[in-house]
Amino acid sequence: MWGRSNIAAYAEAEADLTDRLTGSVAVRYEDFESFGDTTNYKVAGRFALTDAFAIRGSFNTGFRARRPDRKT
Amino acid sequence: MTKVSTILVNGELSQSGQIPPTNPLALALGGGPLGPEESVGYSAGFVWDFTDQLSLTVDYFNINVDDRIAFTGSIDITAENPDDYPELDCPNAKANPVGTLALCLQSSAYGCGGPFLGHLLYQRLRNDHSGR
Repeated sequence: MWGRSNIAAYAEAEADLTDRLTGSVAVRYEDFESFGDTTNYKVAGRFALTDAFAIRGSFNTGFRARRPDRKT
Repeated sequence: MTKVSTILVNGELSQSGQIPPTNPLALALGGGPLGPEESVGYSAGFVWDFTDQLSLTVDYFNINVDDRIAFTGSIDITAENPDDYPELDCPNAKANPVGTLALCLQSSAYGCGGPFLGHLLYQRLRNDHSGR
């Protein structure tokens, strides 16, 4: 018998910056009732060395709220 | 949430339980409210398209998690004297000439409210400051 409410918003954009380079960014905001809020993001890129071979990478942050039954 | 069960400790029946980190007893022993687990991650790799129907992808990823939430080990409170924890309002233990901290858990205010056999162990949740 536990409950918790939270509100979140998420946005992501991806674009071909050049013929070879693709980039993306994402951000997420979340507000937990009686727990606090958090903003997390991710950036990622992909670079095509040839038509058939590409390298890619990403960086992100993360957040995990405790279970509501372990509140207080 | 408080949970108590009977377990064998060195061949002897004992009471063992878990109590929340903000239980007054846990606070007196160093507990506190839980915070979030937070992480930072990154990845790097490649994509190789051999044909339209066959490709190979290889990615390395690494995620570092801070403040992992985990159980502490068992903390034996059988021999703890409630008088050493003045912040605890533990009347049934203090009134008992041989009362121990374990007796506090018999108060409903501490989450149990029932009889105990033998000695008592308990665990509390806390912030752990490292982890992968």
